[in-house]
Amino acid sequence: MTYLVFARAAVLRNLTYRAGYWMSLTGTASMVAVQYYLWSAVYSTAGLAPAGMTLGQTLTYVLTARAASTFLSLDAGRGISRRVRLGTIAAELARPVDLQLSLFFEGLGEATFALLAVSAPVFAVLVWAGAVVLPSPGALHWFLLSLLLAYLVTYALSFAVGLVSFWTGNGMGLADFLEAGVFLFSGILVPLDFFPGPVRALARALPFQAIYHLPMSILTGRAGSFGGALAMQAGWAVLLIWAGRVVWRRARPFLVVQGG
Amino acid sequence: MPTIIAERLTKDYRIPRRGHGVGSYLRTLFTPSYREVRALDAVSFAIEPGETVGYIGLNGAGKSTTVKLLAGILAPTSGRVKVGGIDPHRERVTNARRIGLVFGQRSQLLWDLPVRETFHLLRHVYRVPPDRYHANTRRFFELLELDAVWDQPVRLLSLGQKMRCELAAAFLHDPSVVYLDEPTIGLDVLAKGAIREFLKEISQKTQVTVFLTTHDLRDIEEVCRRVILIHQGSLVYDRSPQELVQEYGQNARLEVAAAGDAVPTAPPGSRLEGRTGDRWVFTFDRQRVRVPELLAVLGQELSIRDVTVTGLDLESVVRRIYGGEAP
Repeated sequence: MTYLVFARAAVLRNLTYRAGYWMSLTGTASMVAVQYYLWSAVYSTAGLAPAGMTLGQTLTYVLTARAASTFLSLDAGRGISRRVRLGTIAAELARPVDLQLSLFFEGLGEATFALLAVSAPVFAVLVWAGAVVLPSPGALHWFLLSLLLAYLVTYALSFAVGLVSFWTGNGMGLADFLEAGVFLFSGILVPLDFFPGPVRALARALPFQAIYHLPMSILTGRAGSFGGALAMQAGWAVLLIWAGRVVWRRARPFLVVQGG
Repeated sequence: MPTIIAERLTKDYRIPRRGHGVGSYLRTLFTPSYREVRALDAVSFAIEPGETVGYIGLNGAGKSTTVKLLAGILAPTSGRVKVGGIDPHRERVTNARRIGLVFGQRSQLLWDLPVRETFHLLRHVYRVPPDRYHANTRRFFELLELDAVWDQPVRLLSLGQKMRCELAAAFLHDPSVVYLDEPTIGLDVLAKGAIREFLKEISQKTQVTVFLTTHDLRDIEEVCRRVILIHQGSLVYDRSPQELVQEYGQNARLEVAAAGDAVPTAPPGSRLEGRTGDRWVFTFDRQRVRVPELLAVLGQELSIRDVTVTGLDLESVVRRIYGGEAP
């Protein structure tokens, strides 16, 4: 498989920088700690269970989401806009590869490294410490599949939005906008069920919930049906990958290679 | 059939129009305005397989734009490109398989990893058969001294070492056309020499078509058998370097260092321009008089210590064309 070399190069690059790895691990662990203390404080009033979520469920939801965020990153889109802004996109386009696929595999290399080296150890420590409660083994399989779909949705969304930089020359603002959408509507900071009705309804209509909310619902046993959640994720993944291809075809004539 | 055909190739860029100052920038956030700039204006040429073409012009003349259009990276505003019979922009991937590309100003190497990792990646991306891979890398090790840098991360290489790697990377998959956009920019004489030797060697031994842009006319003189000159987006010259010199290089310049202060008389066919340091400067018409004749006449009056002749080289010719002088 030709494209695996892009994943390999990404893994090697990550292994090159030791200090960067330790920083990333420390950063993720700190954010997990912040979430832990925040939600423990929120629940310190005895008997509180907003939206029917216990402290155990809420911690499992937000801490796992935070641990997973290292590999569910929006870097594909940022990568495109960086390449367009600096003009290095020219070198990429001179290669006989599909940009959507080569970036996908490059991102997959990054994600695999982040999953194995950061997310999985942090998650393991959380389970060991009892902060995250594992569901039944049956549900765990569905959760892992759901994480994989979450990865596809993240990648496809980020790719399609990153391509906008072909028109604008710089996609940084849009990447921030996308990130804001993730913060608000995905469940990465606050479980979606805690939001008032209209916001929840809006979140359900957007693809962001497929990134954290649906996998975490499966993990905490609050998804109505596993099948429904997974189908919703798969639907978004297919739709967004297709959208990425459409935008890609539209975007190409607008490319300007900046910097001479 | 030509390998590369460009027909009335035209490219416009849209440049944001902004005034000076924060206020003006804020206004363009809401009401942007643009102006169209024509980077390339109806340029046509055809290049046969195996030709080595030097593509020259001042900064901003449209050289890099042409390369990106030929490589299928950019879409032309109007006009047509065919490379190997296909439209390089529409069939980008098919085209990319057959071409090599070197940008002097941006790297295609894997920045954080040892050089060999870039070659490992390219080998798979271009599906280079093992025997070709080994034959080519062996050759590059020899010609470009790659063995010295093979295990070093790209980010630690010097510009010259990096450019040798870029060159090898572009030729790894035996492409039928290679575009080199200012491959010798910023390099020292040794690195430039190595790159010219490599290009000469490979263009003589293989059927590769080489399309080279440069500001260093020695690249062209040593490597290319054809030169295309563009100015402000338009093609102004397309011939061999020798013909260019013959046509435009009539007014040559002779400098003679001689002892004493006696002012010499200019020999027939020449004109005394003045003196710089201990050198008398003459200009002469190469069609009317040749250097040995001039020296024979001057030698009777002066005791000549040293002689320099300029104006026969491509550089002074090109300067003359840009200066708007008639041939």
